[in-house]
Amino acid sequence: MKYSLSIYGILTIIWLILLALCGLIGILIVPIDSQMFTNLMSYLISISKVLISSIAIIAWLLFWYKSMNYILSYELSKNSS
Amino acid sequence: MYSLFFYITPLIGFILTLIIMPYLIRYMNSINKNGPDVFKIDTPIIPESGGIGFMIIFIFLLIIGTIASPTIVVQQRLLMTTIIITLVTIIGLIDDFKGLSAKIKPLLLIIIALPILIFQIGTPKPVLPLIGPTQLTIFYWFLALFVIAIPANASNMLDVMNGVMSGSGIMILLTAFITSFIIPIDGRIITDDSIYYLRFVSLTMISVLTAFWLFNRYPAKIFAGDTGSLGVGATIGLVAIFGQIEFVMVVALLLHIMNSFSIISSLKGLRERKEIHDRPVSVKDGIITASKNPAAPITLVRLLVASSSKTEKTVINQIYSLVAYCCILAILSAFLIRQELIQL
Repeated sequence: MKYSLSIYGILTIIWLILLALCGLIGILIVPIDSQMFTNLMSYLISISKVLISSIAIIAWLLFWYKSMNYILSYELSKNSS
Repeated sequence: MYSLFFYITPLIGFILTLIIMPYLIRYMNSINKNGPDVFKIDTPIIPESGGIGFMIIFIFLLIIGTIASPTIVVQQRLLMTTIIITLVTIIGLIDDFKGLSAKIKPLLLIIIALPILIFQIGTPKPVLPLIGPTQLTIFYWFLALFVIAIPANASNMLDVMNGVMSGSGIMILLTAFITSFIIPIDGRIITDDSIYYLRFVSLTMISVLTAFWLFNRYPAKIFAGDTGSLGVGATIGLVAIFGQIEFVMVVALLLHIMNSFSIISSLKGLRERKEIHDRPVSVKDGIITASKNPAAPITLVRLLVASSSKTEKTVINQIYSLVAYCCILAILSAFLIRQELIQL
């Protein structure tokens, strides 16, 4: 049962990070005032927004994968001891 | 909008599936379409491809639903669903009887989602918690290509023990049905058509799947096969996109995604079963033990039995409670979306 609780923990953290990602994307999708910037600058800002979102999503997936690996090795070592 | 037909359809689906299953069990045994239930002590031989039974009834009810649609928009979405689900069932049947490679199957599932991209039936305004409605246009239709392949493969990869795929499918579609009462219909972002579609398709699949689960639950009398697991996954994907509850369904599918994601990433890609030399678990006298081999794929079942060896029944119950937990998180997400829509 203890072990199942850790999967519940991972699922909860993954869900919370997913919500946080929504918040981040929410901030990023606010349209920029193009009058303030040159065309090139607006273009660079748009690219940066996509990059930041992509990096955040990749980091989320990496965290997910690493946490599962960690829990598996921890539980297996506990089992063998 | 909600005629007597809407309420009778699920009942017909449930009764027809209950009637057809014993015949299908006998038929699959007669043609030797069966396989061993490896988690049982006596490894009984169980008929396979039971999914064909409930999928045919589901497609039949979808056709009737398309004809009796209250609006043109619902009719278009149900027609698209009928075509896609029929194609998915055919792919599942080919996989069950002839076998498809691990790389070809997802590719075919992406190809059959192409009509969604071509005809652009749906609303490219997914509603997200903390943000509200978004306007994704081009990117949305690109993502729609994966709306069948991802949930269908995820459902297929979690079809590992008696009743797990069917039971979790019922819970996820029930979550979709409940969500239709949480998210407010404002006519601009969430439309009556989307909600009608969501309720009709989820309720119809729940009814046929519940009848099937009675035969598929522990100890199973029949296995769903790829026909069933791909069909259920594809239905979840279509309910998400045409019912406008994309985010809620992603959360409800978290455990499925976690299982497939860990299998694919630990195997460094999609692999055939015969290509996987190190099994994730071993079974002795009905007790499941996790493999200690670091090269073995990381699966949900391996994670669940890592701390101590367990019986199949215990693992099934743990998977059920984890799926139920994801469904609770999905319903919480639906309430967060509701808050955003109310503020508009």
